[in-house]
Amino acid sequence: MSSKSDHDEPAVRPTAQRNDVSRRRVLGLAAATVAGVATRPVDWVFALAPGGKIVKRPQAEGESGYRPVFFSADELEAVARLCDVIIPRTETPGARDARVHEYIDLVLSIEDEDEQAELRRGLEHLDRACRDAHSRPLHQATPEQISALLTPLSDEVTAAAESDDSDDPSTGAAFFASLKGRTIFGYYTSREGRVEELGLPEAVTMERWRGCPHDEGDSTHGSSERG
Amino acid sequence: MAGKVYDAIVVGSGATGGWAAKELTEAGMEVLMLEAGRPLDRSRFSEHVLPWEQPLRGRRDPRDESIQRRPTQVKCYACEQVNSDYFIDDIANPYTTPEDKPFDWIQGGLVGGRTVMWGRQSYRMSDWDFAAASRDGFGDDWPIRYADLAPYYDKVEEYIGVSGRLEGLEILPDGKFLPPMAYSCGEVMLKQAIESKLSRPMTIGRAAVLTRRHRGRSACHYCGPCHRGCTTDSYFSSPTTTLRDAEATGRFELISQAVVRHVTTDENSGLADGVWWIDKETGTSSEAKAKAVVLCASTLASARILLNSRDDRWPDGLGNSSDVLGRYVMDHLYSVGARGHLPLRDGAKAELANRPNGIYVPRFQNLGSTSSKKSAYLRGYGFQGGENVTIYEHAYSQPGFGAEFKNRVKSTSVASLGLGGFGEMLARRENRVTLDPEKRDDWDVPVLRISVEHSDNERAMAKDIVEEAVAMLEAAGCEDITSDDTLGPPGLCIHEVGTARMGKDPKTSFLNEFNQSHEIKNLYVTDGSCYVSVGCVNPTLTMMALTVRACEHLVGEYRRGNLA
Repeated sequence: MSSKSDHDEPAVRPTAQRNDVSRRRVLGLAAATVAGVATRPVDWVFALAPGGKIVKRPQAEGESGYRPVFFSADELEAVARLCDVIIPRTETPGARDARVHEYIDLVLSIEDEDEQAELRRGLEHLDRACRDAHSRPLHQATPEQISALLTPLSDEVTAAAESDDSDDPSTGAAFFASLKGRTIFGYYTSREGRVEELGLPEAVTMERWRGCPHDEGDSTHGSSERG
Repeated sequence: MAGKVYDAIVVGSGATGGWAAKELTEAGMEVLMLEAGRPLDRSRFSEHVLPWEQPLRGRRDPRDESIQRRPTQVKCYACEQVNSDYFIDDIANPYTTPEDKPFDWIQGGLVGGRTVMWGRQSYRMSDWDFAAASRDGFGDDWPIRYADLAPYYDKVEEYIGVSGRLEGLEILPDGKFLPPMAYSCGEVMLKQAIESKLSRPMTIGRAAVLTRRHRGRSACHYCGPCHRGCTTDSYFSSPTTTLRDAEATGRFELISQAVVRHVTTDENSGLADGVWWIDKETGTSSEAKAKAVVLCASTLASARILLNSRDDRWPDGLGNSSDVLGRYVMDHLYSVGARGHLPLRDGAKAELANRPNGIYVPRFQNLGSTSSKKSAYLRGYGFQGGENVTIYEHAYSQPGFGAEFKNRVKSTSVASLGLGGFGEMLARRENRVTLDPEKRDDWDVPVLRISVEHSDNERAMAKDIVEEAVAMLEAAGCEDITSDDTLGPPGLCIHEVGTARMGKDPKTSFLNEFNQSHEIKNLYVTDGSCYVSVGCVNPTLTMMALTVRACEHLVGEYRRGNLA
């Protein structure tokens, strides 16, 4: 999103001369009402801006064009493989299809140095474990090899959640928990996760809010027994 | 505008300024409005921008200059990456506080003020509020009663459109409602539980969101993030309603990016005769002249203008012979409550639509005729909240990974109920704003020093809020209840009121019951400044009703020649 150019950009550039405040400065309210479109709320033009259009931003360019801003190319590939094991492609897209690794790369680039260092430390830790166990770096590991690495870490996280043990988690488990959380958010806020996997509509615009469907609930949006 | 003398200058274009402009222009007066914010650009409305259309999926980018310039504003949930510049620039508009008294002042940065991104909850105050001091002996009563304001509440609700349900409760007077929004399953369970077990009524939130087409504006389409703007104008905001009506009269001019520094007075008559304002674009100063001045700049900003209007005649601030100007600042108790999981009923699913509203539990404490239950604090609070059913968020607590995990996430949902207390903060004389002796804003205008803190009464009430929230969630069958025990800093509820309280006695109040200065009869302040006590309901509806009433008075005085 071109947020920079949008920010602090007055819709109407005032002709800023002392004591010469033109009525355009005033919002362009007059244009709308004179034109008689004020009764059409969706089209009603404010401040000479094109109003009423649902904003649609173009999709980012394809995966091949993505240049990582935090990870190295090998790290990005390793993260892509890890994410795709956490949420794999089934009959619906998986994390790699949804380019979750690219989102994680972007988000890490804005986080503070401690978080960046911790994630990188975890990634390096797992890469070493991968080389030890499978004689290849993480960015070349198969899904089965990655799954074998993650299973004990996942079990450790689950066990810690079920006990009151407040010991610090191992480097590997902390990394897994962090990456899993990032993968969940990245995937289910993607179009692939929300629309194709969960089956939700792409844009939520409804005529009514359904409410409780059970007998005692008041699901009659348009009426109230006393109102 | 050079040389022109307007009938009235209105300062501020938000909820109250919009109403003042509408009422005064429709009564035939020529009105100039000055607004410090920028013009509203409807093409920037971003409520339909989907998560994946935002590179950071809704997270704020700390490298973004607009975010960097708003360290206070981003504490408000509504100040997002896509709309941060709807809010004021904190760096250009500083204020100071004592180190041990934090205060978050959330302000609008556009024409329309905070109505562009407000919370929309709209409740009437009752005589439990207007005459609270008579009941419990603390502070002062308002100079008006519910009956004085009721016709103006009617007028405002019928115009802005408030959806809600008639309940017949003395503590929460009914209004002129559009059809109510529905409850979710969990909310029905909560309502049944607290009504049967605790004898506490619950109602659907009363929201200035249209549930059917109303006065040329479309009904809500339930997309969710109202605070990013609404392409169908389905919630009330001044630019789409009151300001539009004012403009249609042909007697209205609005200058944006105009910082009003102070009110000017006529040396001979002592009356207000205009304002001194600064063009943000050029830095040049100008005077605008009028026969009456109406301050609607918001509670703290209006107080600042009056304090900056000090001169030889009024060394402590314009019209401030009572020494109450800037005092008795209040906000609501905020961010205390509880949440808990609820068993999901068969057939209940996450709604695909997003209801821009919640439930409301009206005040139930300290309502006995004497004191049936000896309470540890004065006054009371209401609860706002509702049910949340997860779409995917339960994934974070699901064990494992892989295809089985993915399918489990899809086939599950977790329901939870949350209740947040909104409590009355007492009006205390020492909670005040003054002019900072040194600091100035980017336009060289002295800034406010805000010195406001909670007292033992607020802390005792907060404790009770948490206990009662937990009790109600338990009654509804919630599990895994967690509480939010830490009171938010004053200001963050964005319900700040006080600073120029109204009253019958000029010795103890700044305004009379018509929001007119006791000392300067052509000066009106109709925003939240006039509050005597804050009650516990969201204040915007009441501010608008008070503005309509004040403007009716102003027009009458103007026509009778009493303002000259």
